[in-house]
Amino acid sequence: MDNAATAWPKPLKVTDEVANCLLYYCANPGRSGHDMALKAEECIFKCRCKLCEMFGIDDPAKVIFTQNATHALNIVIKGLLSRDSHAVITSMEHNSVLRPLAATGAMYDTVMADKDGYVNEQDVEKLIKSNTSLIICTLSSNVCGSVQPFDKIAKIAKKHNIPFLLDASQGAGVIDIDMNKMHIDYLAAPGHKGLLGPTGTGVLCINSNIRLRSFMQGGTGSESKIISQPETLPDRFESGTLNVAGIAGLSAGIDFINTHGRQNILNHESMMTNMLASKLSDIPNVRLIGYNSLKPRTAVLSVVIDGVDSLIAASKLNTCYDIAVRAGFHCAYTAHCTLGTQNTGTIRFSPGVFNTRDDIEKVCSAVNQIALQNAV
Amino acid sequence: MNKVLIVLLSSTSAFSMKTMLETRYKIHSRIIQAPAKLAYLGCTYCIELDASDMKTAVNLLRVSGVSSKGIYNADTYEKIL
Repeated sequence: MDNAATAWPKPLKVTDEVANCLLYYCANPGRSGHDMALKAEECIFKCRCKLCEMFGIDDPAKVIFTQNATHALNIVIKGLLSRDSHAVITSMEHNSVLRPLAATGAMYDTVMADKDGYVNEQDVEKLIKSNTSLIICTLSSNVCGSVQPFDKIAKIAKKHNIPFLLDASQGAGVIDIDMNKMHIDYLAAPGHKGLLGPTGTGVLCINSNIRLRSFMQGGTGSESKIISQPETLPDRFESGTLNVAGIAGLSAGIDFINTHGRQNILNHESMMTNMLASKLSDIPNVRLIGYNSLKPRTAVLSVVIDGVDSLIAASKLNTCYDIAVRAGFHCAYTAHCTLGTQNTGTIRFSPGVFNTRDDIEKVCSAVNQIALQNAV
Repeated sequence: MNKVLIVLLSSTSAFSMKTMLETRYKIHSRIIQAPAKLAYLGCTYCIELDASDMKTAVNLLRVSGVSSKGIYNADTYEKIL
């Protein structure tokens, strides 16, 4: 029940493909010219193409592989912003946005979300200044699952000629995203959550011609005679050896999504979450946080059990019931402040594509027992 | 002249070109590392294809926006374009 942290289990083909790569073709791509190196590069290239199709961009060279979404977000935030810059963000952002933003020294204004975790796109426009260089928005909150009106915010950003960065850490792979049609300039996503790939993979998709300052310099397998980092994409942002086996697995994860259908996966996960919400809300002393079934959501549900510390509850769920969740503040304290859980944190349940009704029943039974044990 | 080499900027560009040639024109090509003599910035990849397909490839470079570092005779490394 912790798929918001990382999808588990992975589809069997993901594991198979990682093993296949390691066994048969895991050479260093883009460096040598031998068959194994070219096969590794071909695997990487095919994954770029799949991501182009998934996110609606045309050029595979504008798909940058990263270690994770945090890495991808850092590339854009530090590539565009400086002390003189201004950015607009939402109060539902994760520390993977807030911390690099703070590190740049840039000024920023925050659009406050409502009690259910949704921002109003018109509030974004009110905060735009003459030196606003970037608008950043999370696709979906990792605390309560609220899907933001990211397409409307992107439209506003486009209207004002300001680059728009979408943090698609929650929702990539299930929410429909077309960067071209929706005017999204940058998309950062982890490979290991909704895209069902292994940990250690992430992606930055670029749909803009704005030159980003290079983030990490090093060997790219190209233009070896020059000391400055190449301008060519993706090399500019892919210094060092890529996680080839991880990307092979990510490619298989994308295949799984395409085979089963993004919408079908979303429907299943929504059904699991709604079932969970419905049953948990019947338990005395259990409060759902930021749950609005009428608005767009991903499969994330936060609850508080009154009188029970969220971390202790999570520990009990693990030890006594073999249920894996994440509790606390989820690297998103400002989101918790928005939702009113800044003192308690929450227990976060995040079902995935492989969870079943049985799993939901077990979770609810366990929460019920924990709540009863601590009832006043 | 049997074969030509199109020197590209990176392995990704090379795979882009190869894929486009195959899918759009059913032209088969081979990716190899660019000979040191042609990779004047050091280390890159090129597409090797039949000289008869060169015109199509040149046109594809133009419409696709893939950047190249030149087209060379694969035997003599003489620059053609």
